[in-house]
Order: sequence, then C-alpha cells, then structure tokens
Amino acid sequence: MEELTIKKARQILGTDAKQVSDEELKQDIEIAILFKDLFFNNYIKNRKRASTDRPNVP
Amino acid sequence: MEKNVIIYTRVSDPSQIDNNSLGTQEQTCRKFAESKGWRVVRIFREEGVSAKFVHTRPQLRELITFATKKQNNISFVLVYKFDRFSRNLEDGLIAISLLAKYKVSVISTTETTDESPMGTAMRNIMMTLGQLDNELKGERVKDNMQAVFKKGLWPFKCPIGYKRQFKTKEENKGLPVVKDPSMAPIITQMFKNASTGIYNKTQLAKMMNLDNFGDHYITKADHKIVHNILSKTFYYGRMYAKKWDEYAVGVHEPLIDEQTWQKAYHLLVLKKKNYRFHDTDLYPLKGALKCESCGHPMTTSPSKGMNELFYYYECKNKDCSCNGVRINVDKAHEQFAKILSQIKPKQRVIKLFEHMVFSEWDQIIEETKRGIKQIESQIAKQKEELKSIRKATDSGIYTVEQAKEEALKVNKEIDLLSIEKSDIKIEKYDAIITKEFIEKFLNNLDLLWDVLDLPKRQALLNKVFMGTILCSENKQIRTDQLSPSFELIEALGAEKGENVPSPRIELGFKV
Repeated sequence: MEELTIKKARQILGTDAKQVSDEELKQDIEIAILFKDLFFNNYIKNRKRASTDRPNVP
Repeated sequence: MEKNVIIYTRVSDPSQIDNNSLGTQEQTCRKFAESKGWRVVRIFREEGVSAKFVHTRPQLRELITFATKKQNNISFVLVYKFDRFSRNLEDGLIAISLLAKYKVSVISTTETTDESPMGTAMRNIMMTLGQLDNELKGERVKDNMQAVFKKGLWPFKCPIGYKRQFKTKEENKGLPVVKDPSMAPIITQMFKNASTGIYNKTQLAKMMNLDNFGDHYITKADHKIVHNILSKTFYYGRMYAKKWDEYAVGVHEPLIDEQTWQKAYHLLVLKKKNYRFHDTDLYPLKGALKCESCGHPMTTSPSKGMNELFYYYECKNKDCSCNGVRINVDKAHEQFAKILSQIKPKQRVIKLFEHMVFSEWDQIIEETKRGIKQIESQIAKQKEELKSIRKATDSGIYTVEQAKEEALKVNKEIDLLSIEKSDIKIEKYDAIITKEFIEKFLNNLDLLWDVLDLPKRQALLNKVFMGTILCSENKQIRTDQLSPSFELIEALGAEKGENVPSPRIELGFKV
C-alpha cells in the first residue's frame, strides 16, 4: 500500500487537521498503521479462523 | 545410406513415469524415423528430471557421449518437442552446438523446423518459450507456496514427526500436516529430555534410537538430526521458511510448548549452559515500567513461596530511595488495564485508520481479481491444448487411446484450476466489521491489550505511552507520557450519561 504522507493525511482529515502539528500528525499516522495491522492480522484473520474451525495454535 | 538416429524422451514429474507420456514420445519419434527410413539405434529415457539444466540429466549426458562417438555414426537426435530436450535456451544451444560439431542434429518430430536460418531461429524461439514457460511456472509455484505458507499450512517436505493426511497432493490441498503416531511421541520425548539440560545431542540421538526411531525413518538418529529437529520452531507451532526468511503461525498441532522448545534450543543449539527460561510473556511491561523515584527500568523476577512461583516487577537500583519497591505482576497489570480502559484514540486517528483499511482492502480485492484472471488464462490455455490433442488425433500422431489419455490429463488440470478459482473469494470490505473493531477494541484498549501477543503489546505500549509507565513507592502504576493521538474517555462517558470516574489525578495523567 502506498505510504500515507502528512500532506495526504491533512487532505483526508480536512478541518480536523487544523491546528494539528506535522509531528502530531506523524504520530497519528503511525498509530493508525499499527491499528490497521492489528485489524488485518489479528481481527480479520481470527474471524476467518473462527468460521472455518481451524485448530488453535498457542 | 540408412541413417542412424537416437531418441531422447523425458518427463519432469515422477508421477508421469507410469502413465504413457514417455511411451507416446517414443512412439511419435519412432513413427517419424520410420517415415524417413532411418534406423533407431538407441533410446534415452530421462525419468522425473527437469529440463532446466543439462548437468542434472544423466541420460542426456550419456546421449551426448554416445552421439559424439564416431563409431556410432549418429546423424540425428529425435525429440518429441524441443522443450523435451531443453527448457533453458543457453544450455540447450550449448548441447546442440556440441552435437553439431560431430554432425549430429536435433530434430523435433512434432514441430516443423529445419537447418535453414529460419528453421534455426524457430527452434531457438521454441526453446525460449519452453524456458519462459518454466520460469512462469516456477514463479507461480513460488507464489502459491507463499500463499499457502501465509495461511498457516506447511508447503515443504513434512518435518520429522509429522505426516500428510492423504497420499495425493489434491487430497491434501488446504489441510495441515498431522502428527505421525509412530514418530511424534519420540520427538516430544526428545525435546523433554533436551530441556532438562542433562543430555548432549549424541546421547539424545541414542535415546531416540532406543525408541526405534530408525524403524520409522530412513536412517538412525544422530547428533545432526537432533540438531536439525531442535532448530525447528515448527514443533511449537511457529513456521519459518528459510528461503523467504518469513515466519507464520502454523495451523498444525504442536508437538511441544514454546517454553520447552526455547529451553532445549538455548541449551543445545545456542549452547547457553546457564540458560534459564524466562517467560517474557509474563512481563509485558518489562522495559517500559520504570521506578518513579530513580527512573530506572524495573527488573523482573519470580519468587518461590507456598509451593508456587510469584512474579514481580522490582527496582534493583541500590542507590534508589524506594528501597527496592516490588509489585506483583497481576496487580501491576490490573492497574495498567485500568489506565488503558480510560483512554481512546482521537477521532482523527480513527478517520486515518478507516482510510487505510479501505485502501488496503481495495488493493486486496484488486490482487484477488488479478489472481482469478491468471487462472482463467491458464484454463483457456488448457482448452487450447485440448484442441491441439484433437488435431494431433486427426492427423494420426495420437491413437484414439492416447488422445483419450492426454485429454483426461488436460481435463483434470482444468478441473483443478476451476476448483482453485472457486476457492478464491472476493471479500468486499465491510464497513460494519470495521466499525465493530473500532467500537470493540479501539474504544476499549484494555480489551485489545488482552488479545495481543507480546511484540504487539510492546508496540502499543510504545505508541500510546511513549514506552514509559511509572511505578511509585506505594506500588501505584501511573503515566505522564500519553501520546497526543489519544484522549481521555471521560467526555465519551459523559455524553453517554455514564458515571466514569476521573482517572486524571489518581493515575497522574498530564494530557
């Protein structure tokens, strides 16, 4: 996936990004990436596993 | 004068040896020789060998030696198709030019080529196409194997102690490897013995042989086999693919737990004699939790009492005024969970998160569509193959029986591809699932924390609290390092009309 730049993040957030510094936005992006990874790697994967009844792995 | 010729036939898959592919190749070449009035003096059959390299094909090497001997007086080497001779242009040309020096030409019996410049160019193109086909197939196989690996299935040879559930590839498709009832107990016992630290690898191998390891494996156990088994994380459920340097969580049943594996691995592979297993999972705050008085990271230690172990975070700085404050891990984690339950990411983080999820989802959908198109083109190619079999039958190259056999193979391939295609599902992104995740976990970080493994917990800790949690002298966990991307949940509670206690003073937030 193409990297989300601060400029792009400002476009996405619109007025929500007003008075938010670049540094803060950078942190927002990093956290959003972490959550996105957790969403795909843990949440979606686990949902699939539950539905297909795969064995549990410690 | 009657010319002497030799025939070269080859199949790359051992499973093709017993069907009549080699026979068909030979018959076609024989018919061709008969029609020209040539005498077949010898046949070279290469069984189960790829045409990628010349040096890996003993029969081809023997053929070259035979054909280049003057007394054999060979004029032609007959092949069914050029891709039987070589699927590597460079290697193929070297072999052809070597034969040409001795006035031996390679002739494809089903492809029209001659010794003219145009014929030579056509031959080279056919070999290039063979090479291209090989390389594309190789890429496809690699991609498929990687996809299977990421799904938690083991695409390589079964590790000792495991076996495939069924005999054929088709039947095993999508299924994890299972424990081999005769070998698995021996491997499990070996790990248990290894984790005691009493035995070396040779002694472990001897014990395995006493358990009849050699009866179920190609050789008896030795220190090398033991070393290899001990090095594989596969046995506790984590798979590692060396060729891609990738890890994945396997869906197979582990033979041992991670703790036993770690202990055995450290003692015998890394040879750390004083290794004591330290379960880092028990201390997720390790590194981030600091003593409020001196700022030093708190160490972790188990303490024995009442026949069980108790785990603590502890300040071991001798110069610290806290006099070695010590907090039980359960109590520390309980307080930490309270802090997590009182914060949530700001709305702008949620907005960016949603954008990223939907973009990635779009990409996944596009990739899936591409995969489907690729399979469809393979199916079309197979259908073309069916047509060419029909043509070959009409022109007498195939007998009806042979054509049926060949068509059956192609139809089977088409069926497999169709199954593969139907297995791929385009999962449209679902705003409800995303919302569910946000409400369930992002607005309840304590719940998210509960379901994460150690590395992800540490990543979250670093992002939310800049990696710093403090423990006061009176054993209170607090933090003053909240990331500006998060906010207190108070306002949300107030909106909902719920009675949320203020954590600010008690837990020491400075937002």
